[in-house]
Formats: sequence, structure tokens, C-alpha cells
Amino acid sequence: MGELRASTGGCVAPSRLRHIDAWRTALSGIRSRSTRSVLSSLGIAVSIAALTAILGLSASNQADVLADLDAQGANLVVVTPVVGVDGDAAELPSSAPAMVARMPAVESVAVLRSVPREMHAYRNDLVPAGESNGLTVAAVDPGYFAAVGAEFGAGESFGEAGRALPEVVLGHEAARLLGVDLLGVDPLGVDPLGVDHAAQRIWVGSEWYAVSGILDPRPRVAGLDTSVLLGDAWAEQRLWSDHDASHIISLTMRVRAESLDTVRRMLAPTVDPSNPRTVSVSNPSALVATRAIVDDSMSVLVAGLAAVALLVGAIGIANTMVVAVLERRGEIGLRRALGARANHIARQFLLECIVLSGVGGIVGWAAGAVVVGVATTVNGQVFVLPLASAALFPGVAVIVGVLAGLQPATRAARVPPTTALKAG
Amino acid sequence: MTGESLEAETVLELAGVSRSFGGAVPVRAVDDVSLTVRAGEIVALVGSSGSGKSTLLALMGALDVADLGAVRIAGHDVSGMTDAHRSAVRARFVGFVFQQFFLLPTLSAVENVALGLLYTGTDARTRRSRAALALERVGLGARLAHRPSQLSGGEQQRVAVARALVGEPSLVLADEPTGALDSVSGAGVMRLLQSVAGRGTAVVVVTHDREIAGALDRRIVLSDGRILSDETRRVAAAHAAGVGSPSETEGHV
Ligand SMILES: Nc1ncnc2c1ncn2[C@@H]1O[C@H](COP(=O)(O)OP(=O)(O)O)[C@@H](O)[C@H]1O
Ligand SMILES: [Mg+2]
Repeated sequence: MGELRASTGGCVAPSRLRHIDAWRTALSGIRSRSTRSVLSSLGIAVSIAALTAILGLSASNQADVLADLDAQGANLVVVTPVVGVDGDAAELPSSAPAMVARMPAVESVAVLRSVPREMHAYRNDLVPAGESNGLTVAAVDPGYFAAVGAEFGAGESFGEAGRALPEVVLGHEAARLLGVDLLGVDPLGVDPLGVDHAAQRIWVGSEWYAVSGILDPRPRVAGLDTSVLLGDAWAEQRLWSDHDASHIISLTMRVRAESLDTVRRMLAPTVDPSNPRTVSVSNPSALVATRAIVDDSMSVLVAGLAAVALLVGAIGIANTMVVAVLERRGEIGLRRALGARANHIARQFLLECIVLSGVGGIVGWAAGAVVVGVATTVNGQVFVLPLASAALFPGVAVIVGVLAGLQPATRAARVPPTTALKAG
Repeated sequence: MTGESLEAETVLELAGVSRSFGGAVPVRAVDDVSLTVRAGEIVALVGSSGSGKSTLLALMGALDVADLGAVRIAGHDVSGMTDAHRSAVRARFVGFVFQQFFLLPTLSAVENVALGLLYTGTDARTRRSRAALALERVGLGARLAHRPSQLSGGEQQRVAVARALVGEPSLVLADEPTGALDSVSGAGVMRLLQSVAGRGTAVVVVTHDREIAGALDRRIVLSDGRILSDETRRVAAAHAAGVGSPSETEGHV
């Protein structure tokens, strides 16, 4: 019993389904149940759309909040020379601004230079020299104000033209103490009210300086509010005699927030490679911490909602597949009879899951992006949607779809062909 | 049946094949069956409901695996094969026809027939052209683009036969192919299967229609999973030898 002559036929190659045909089969399976397929795809699409919208809206909000924080100075780092034991005001090397500007994460560098120590600012030439109001006089280039994020409450920067002229910009508190308000002065220099121009100038050192602008309060930049800032070219040409010295007393740089730590670590050796210890780097820590909290709370919220939305989508796909496997037993049996391996059946259902969830993911992402676009436009916010989500979300949708389809697909593959054929 | 050699090639060989189904009371659906079917033979497999015909047919076509015994299809012993290889034997050497047609409703006739080549790794264009030829062969050359719902029952079953034939199998197994058809369409399908055998394919037809069974050359009667009788009509041999009486054959063919 059970004995046959020795085999004469050669070995048969395993039955085979081309990849392209596997995809075609999956697509035709989906088309054959188009309504239910659209519905289950819609489930994934809705959850991915929700996810994309949440991500985009929170990223846009976050960008707003962070931009606010950065405007307050969360991304400003100040480098100063360490004051020597003898109290001598040290200075940074003259090469420092260029070296720092070359660092990739540094967006702008503002240079503050000293003026001779005996120079103080007064309302006019009649104030006794001792009453200096604690105001600081320093020299800056015209780009300084923008670089530290200062805004003009009145007037404007002395500009390139005024850089080498006796003109000053006053910090908010300095202007108040010096009794300068620039009211009635029109930016074009025409004075319609005929206000006494003497009131719009101050006495610094031993000369009159015209006040070109007054800054809004900016407490985040230490000392700015009580500063009297004159042009660096003027200082170099008219106030200093030792032209070898740099007279740089601080660098204020705007740094890309995500690189803040790296930049802070690199700054001292970059500013003064030979004596990094003589360089002190500020730490805008409180604001940075706030920034990190804003970052984190948003991501936790997004992750939580993402999990829920995807779970719902996965249940939809799994349900569709379970029903499909039940409904299509006859087809499964037929395909087995035509030479399909159990694997081919599993693959067919998995590919259907991939197509359904992938299409749902792409459509959902696009719909979510539209929602973010509309909402940010209405709110007047900047549209922010990490581009990686365009690949990531449909990718996640596909993974979820495959996971959801795995059990129904393997179940379909395990049905004995003869049992499957009885269902027809 | 003398020396003039009807020794056609053996396509199907079963030796001591048994198949049981578990349960509280195990059923021996096929019990120690041995038989041989040669190329060009057409065999009626008959027996009462539950006698094991469908189970035996599945074993003959490597769609199911015997608990005991050996099954050889076109020279390949499928008993110890992996699913992948057994599936390849079905794809290359066996064509199935079922009572319920099993046509996919969203595919056209030619697409349904092309499915018969899907698991052989043939490219799509070849599948389609061969499917069109197979449909012509069953007389449906003008129905290539029709959906199953646009075809009559008899036409649908002929599409299914074309699907079974498109891979040019050595063996065609039909489980009650006329069971869902009226007698005229049923007769058409039977004529078709006989012509298939006439071209050298081995054909086994499960039926409980006495008339149909009577028209075929060989009849195997199954009862409780065992072969009760396996008779080749004398007339068939005589016919093959060219001395058959016309009255015995013309009635059904
Ligand atoms: N998958 C199965 N599980 C359990 N019993 C089965 C299964 N398939 C067939 N049988 C039993 O095997 C016997 C033969 O069935 P079948 O081959 O379908 O008979 P037929 O086709 O001659 O009507 C029956 O008793 C049937 O109940
Ligand atoms: Mg049966």
C-alpha cells in the first residue's frame, strides 16, 4: 500500500506569482468591493487627516509662540571678556566678530565697542560732570539694533551715513533720563511744529550729539535700555587714539534655537582660540527652558491623539479584511485550485491592506494639510507642517494597515482549499 | 485490447490512498483507493451523496493531502511535497471545474480564463492571448469582454472549462460540472469535456447523473469512500478499435 514506481518526472519548480500580478490582484480585489474599500480607506484617511491637522496646527502655533519667545531673546547669546583681577576692562580680539559669524547656527552678530572711559552722557553742557545717571556710552555699527532685536519707538538708526557723525541712539530708559522724546520731529527732518532742536540733542564727553532714534524697552538685552549708542566709525576716528585695540566689549548673537547648546559650547574657543578662558558666554536659560516646555507639551499632545486616531483607523481596516476573508472564501479556494500557494493568498490580502491604508494615508495627509492651510490663513499665522509628515504619516498608515491585516490574511491563507471551495 | 497498444501515458496514479476527517466520530471519507487514469481517458466518478467523490477528486488534484497512500500526478509524487510544490503541480498539470463555476464577478470572461495561468508566472500579455484562444476553443470567442452576469449558466461553465484548459493541463477534474445547469447546457458542457479527453487530456468527472455517467467510457463507483466498481465499457475499447456500434454512441455525443 502506498508504493509507487520510482518517480520519472523531474522536480517541479514552486508555483509562482509575479510581483506585478500580486499588485494587480490586490487592486482588482479592492475594485470588486469598491464601496467597502472606500469606506475603510476613508477611516484611515480621516485619522491621518486629523493627525496631520493636529501636527500642522500645533506646529504653526508653536512656531508663533517660539517666535514670540525668540523675539524676547531666547535665542540671543552674549559673549563678553572676563574682567581681569585688576578690574581692567578686557576686550575681545578684533577677529572675533568674523569668526563667530562663520559658525553655521549663528544668524547674526552684533558688536558693542567701548568708548574712552571718561565719556559720559548729559542732558546738556551745564550738568555737573558727576551726575551721569549711570548711563552707559558705547559704540555700535548700524546693524546692531536689528541684530539684538531692538525696535525703534521714535526716530531711527543713525544709519551708514551717521556712523561717522556725532549722532546717537538712546535706550528707552536713557532717553527718559536725558529728557529726550523726539516728539514733533518728523523722520524726514522737517519740523512742522518748530520745536527747539536743542532739546533733541545731548552732551556726550565734550561734544553735542544729535539723537537719531529712541529704542523701545528691551530688558532681555542687558543694559540696552540705559545705553547711549554712538557710531563705531565716529568712535574709532574721533574718540580713540590707539587704533590697534579692538575695543570690543561684547558680541550679541542670534542663534538658531535648536543649536543653542552646541553654539554656546563652541563660542569661547571660536572667539579667542588662544585664551578661551578669558571669554564669558551668557546663558539665556530661563527662556530656553520655557521654549523646551512649549516644544514638549505639544509633542505629547500630538502623540496621544495620534495613537487614538490610528487605532480607530486600524480597527476599520481589520474589520474590512475580516469581512473580506469571510466573503471571499470561494475565491480563496478557487485561487488555491488554480495553483496559488497559501503565501500567495496571504500576500494578496496584505497588499490590499497596503493599498487601502496607503491611499487613505496620502489622501488624509493632503486633506489635513488643507485644513492647516485654511486655519493658519484665517488666524494670520505662518503655515508650518513638517514636510517629513508627508512620507511619515502615509508610511505609518501602511504599517498600521499591515498590522491590522496580518491576522485576517494569515487566517485566509490557512483555510484548507477544500473547505474554502465548499463555501462557494 | 490486444497488441495494438492503447498504452497511453499514465497521467494519474493513486495507490492505497485514504483520507479521514477528525471530529467526535472520525469519518474515513476516502478509504484505500487505488486507480490509474491515462491520457485521453474520460472517467465518470459516481456514488451517492457523501460517498467521498469530492474528497477523492481533491486528492487527485493535489488540492488535499492523503493521510495514507501515494498520489502521482504527471509523474510527480505529490504526497511529500511542500505547499509551494504541490501548488505548482496544480498550476501546471491540473485543471479544476466546479459545480458553482467560481467566476470572479468583476472580471470579464477573458480575464477569468487568464486567472488559470496566474500562478505559473506567465506574463500578463501571454496569459490574455492564451485565454482568448481557450475561450475560442470552448465556443465563446465572441464573449471575451462579457462579465459572468452577462452570460448564461452554460456559458459561464464553459468559461470555467476554458480557465481549466488554458494552462494545457494533463488532467482535468470536474466536480458535478452540470449540477447547476439545465440538461441542454449540461449536455453541451459534457460534450466539451469529452472533446478535451479526445485531445489526449485525462478527464475525471464527478456526477450523480446516471445518464451522463452512462455516456462515458469508464465508470468508477464509490461507496463509503471505497471503490465499489471500476468498469471500462467494452464498447469503448471496441470503439477505439474502430468497431463500435453507432447506436451505442450517437445518443450522447
Ligand atoms: N472538511 C471536512 N471535514 C469533515 N468531514 C468532511 C470534510 N469533507 C468531507 N467530509 C465528510 O467526508 C464524507 C465525504 O464527503 P464528500 O467527499 O464531500 O462526498 P461527496 O462529494 O461524494 O458528496 C462526508 O461524510 C463528509 O461529511
Ligand atoms: Mg461532492
